[in-house]
Amino acid sequence: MADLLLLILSVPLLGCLFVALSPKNKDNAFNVTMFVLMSVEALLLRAGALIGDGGFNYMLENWSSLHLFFTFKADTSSIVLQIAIYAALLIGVFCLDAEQKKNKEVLASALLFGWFMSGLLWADDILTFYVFFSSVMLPLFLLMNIYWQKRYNSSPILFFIFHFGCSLLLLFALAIIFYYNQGNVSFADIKSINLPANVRTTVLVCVVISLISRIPIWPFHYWIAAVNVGMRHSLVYVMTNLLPLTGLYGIMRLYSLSLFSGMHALEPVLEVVGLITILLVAFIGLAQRDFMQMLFSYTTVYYLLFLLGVVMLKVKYQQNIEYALFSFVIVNSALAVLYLWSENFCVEHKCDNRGILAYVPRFAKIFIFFVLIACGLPVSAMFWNDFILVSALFRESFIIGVGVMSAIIAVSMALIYELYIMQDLTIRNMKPQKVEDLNDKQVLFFIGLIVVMCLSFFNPLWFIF
Amino acid sequence: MLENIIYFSPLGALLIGILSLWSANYGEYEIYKCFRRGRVFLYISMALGIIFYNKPLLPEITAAAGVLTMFRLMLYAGALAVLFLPRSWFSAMGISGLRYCIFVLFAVFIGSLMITSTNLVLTIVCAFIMMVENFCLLCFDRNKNEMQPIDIIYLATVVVLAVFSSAALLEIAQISPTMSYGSIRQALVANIVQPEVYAAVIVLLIDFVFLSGLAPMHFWLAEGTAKSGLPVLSYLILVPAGMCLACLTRINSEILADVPEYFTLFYKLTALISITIGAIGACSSHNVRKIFTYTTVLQMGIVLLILQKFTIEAYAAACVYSIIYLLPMYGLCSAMFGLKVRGEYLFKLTDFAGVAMKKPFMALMIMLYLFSLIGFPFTLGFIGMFSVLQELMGEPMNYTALYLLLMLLLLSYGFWQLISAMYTANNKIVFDKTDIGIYMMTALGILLSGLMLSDIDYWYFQMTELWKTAAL
Repeated sequence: MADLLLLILSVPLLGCLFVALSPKNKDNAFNVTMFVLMSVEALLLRAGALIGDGGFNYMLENWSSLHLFFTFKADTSSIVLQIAIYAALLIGVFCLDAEQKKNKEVLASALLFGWFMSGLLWADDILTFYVFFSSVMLPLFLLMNIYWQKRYNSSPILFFIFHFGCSLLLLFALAIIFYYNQGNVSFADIKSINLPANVRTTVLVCVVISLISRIPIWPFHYWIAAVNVGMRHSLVYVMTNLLPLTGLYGIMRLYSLSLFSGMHALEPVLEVVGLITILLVAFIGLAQRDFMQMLFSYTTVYYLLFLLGVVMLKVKYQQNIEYALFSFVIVNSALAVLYLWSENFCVEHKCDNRGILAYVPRFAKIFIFFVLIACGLPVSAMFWNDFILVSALFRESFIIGVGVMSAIIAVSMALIYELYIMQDLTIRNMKPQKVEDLNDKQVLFFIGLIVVMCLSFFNPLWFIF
Repeated sequence: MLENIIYFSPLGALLIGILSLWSANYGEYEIYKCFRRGRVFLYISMALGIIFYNKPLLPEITAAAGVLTMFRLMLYAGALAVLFLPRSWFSAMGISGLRYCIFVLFAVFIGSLMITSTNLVLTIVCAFIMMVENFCLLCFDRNKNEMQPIDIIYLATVVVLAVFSSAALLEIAQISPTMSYGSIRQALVANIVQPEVYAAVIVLLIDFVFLSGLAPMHFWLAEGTAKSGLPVLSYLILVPAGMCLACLTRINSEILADVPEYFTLFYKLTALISITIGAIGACSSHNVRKIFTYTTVLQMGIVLLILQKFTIEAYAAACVYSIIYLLPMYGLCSAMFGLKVRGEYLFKLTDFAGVAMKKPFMALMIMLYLFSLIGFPFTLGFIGMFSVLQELMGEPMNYTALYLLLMLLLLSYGFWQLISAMYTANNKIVFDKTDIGIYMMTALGILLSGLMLSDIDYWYFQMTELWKTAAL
């Protein structure tokens, strides 16, 4: 099993090197990327089937005199999330247009991003977690520099200064833990380190700030809004919207291992700020006219829902959060990719998006289905697990439950309104013409995704595990 | 007598090299051959230095030990790099490289003496010779009549420091007439409380602060190199660093070892000021050369921060960290020699637009080196930076570490600007063809970094052992 884990960790990295060295403007890079992503998915499914309850470890110990080692531990939840991440990357890569497919920088960055996410999800000690947590923004930074649309004010540099600064806080906390433990420590053993009270508080605050900074909660919400508005490349958008998962997963690990007893002091703050952010963003999203901004609101609301679920409900509902995340990641990516496809369609045909669904029936059916899943159509794990989470939140705090439910309703209404606009032919005088719809491969791909989502009503991929 | 001649051979090879290059002045020469000749003599000197690593030239005033040989090897490596990289630059600019080669060999000669010296007078004299040589290098590619204000300020500073250093040496001679490191160390135990003696030591330390470009004496490094050519920039970044580190480390371990509490504050203040100015200077500059020199100021500040601990582990960590930061600086210098447009080497941030599209390998290498310098994970610099943080975690709630991280964040802003510029599309610019040797040298830095990273244990362990066994 350790060999399988090592193989899963190695394949994306090797694929990235292969793609980076491939000849320019050819299809090699795209073919290799698709092969790597699908292989990793297959390997993850195999690993998930073999894993059992305990998970498995792999340790890389090459710097023993510096007390540095890297430990990886895989369990069911991390594998489920990885499957979702690679599925999202597959969606992003698969739907690239002919010109984008030849851009090997993007494809290599996507594979590198996948590798970093794998390392992060499987990290079992604080050093490994930091290394992958910090590195994951690197491919995004490169792509943002290439694809950032200059007409927007925000800058990729500020984006990364912000994230790098917050990850340096985690490095500071890591250095303190190293000092007191005289070396690296696995997550399970952090509790046993004897830290003085004020040091413990400092470490806790640094860790929480660094993790929370990735999640779009006030005052850290600005970066994701700026990026979502500034990036019009589907794969880059998918990757950017996976970044909050790194922070959320870190918080989940903190709670699942009861790493710091002082978290209860920060919880009320997170709850209040989370609630205010979720409501503000949801109702701002309702007022937007750009679908990508609505999608940003939707993404923010759901990430904050999961964060509130982790903070308020602790470990008890963690599995539900993971299962909901599985569907959320796939749905979010699919929506972004599909909408950007339609945006390109509108640019090509010099029209706005009002009523376009009538011209592209295949696209219409798939897009409508994903929008309805996003709004809570009871056909996926997202519906069932979100239902459980929101019910539990109501039980914990009625006000927060009401706030969360209002936010979900607001973003759903925004998405459905956009759907209405896209199918509204009342002011369009043109007759439906024969235009290019989604091709057969793309349709089959999305149908496959829909089947997986439908089969994952309670637990994702229950038919595999 | 014969032994002295044999043990003089490493320095002798350098002298012969200098004379050989000097004699080429009177005949026809090719630029490439001069550089090759210089490198040959450096190789010979280095080989002889390794063979006779434990044989001091003059036991009364010089020493020999494994750790000193390590410092000299750093010096030789830097010198070899600056004799390999700029050959094309001199050809392109139509400037004679002869004087430059002579300066480099002379710097290695003086540097070797400085590193192995056990006499404070010899060390300080060598330091001042290096200062004068630095001045000559800063001016060498300009018109003789074209003295910049920075040159005048530099000369004035050297003169002032020379006066004060002479006074300081006289003061120390009163408590230790022989001026050997060992005797000064013993004398300082009883006499350091005297303000004159304390001030004398501080003045002598300031000489090295000035020579290494540490703040607040960094002005010449940042401003002077911005106006000078790339070879001078490479030399000042790669060559003096090893020398100054060696001297400071030896002064710590052999002179100040018994009175560290009097100088910790000086080291810490100088280090923090250097780190601050280095970070602010790098992030506010639009001249890439200035960014690199301010980065050097910051990195030397970090080395000083480690040295303030006055322990063997700190010296070992400082040595390893110096190598860790010199490798990416070497790589950056190599990459800078590979990027030119219509014969002009790039120096402004805006000049780098589109580099990633036209020269992706160079852009990737530059990015990796810059990440290493800010301690980004998966680079050698991360290990170095992490070790520094561990050294700084001496007390609970140690804010120096947090401050260092904040300054690194500022530094990263300057680096991100460069990376961002490189990855900005610009189809109009056409870069000149890069010499294959430059590609190889740039990649060599990554290879060496990777080798070091793969067995960093060995480096820390060996460095600590070298210091423990050094009979200095």
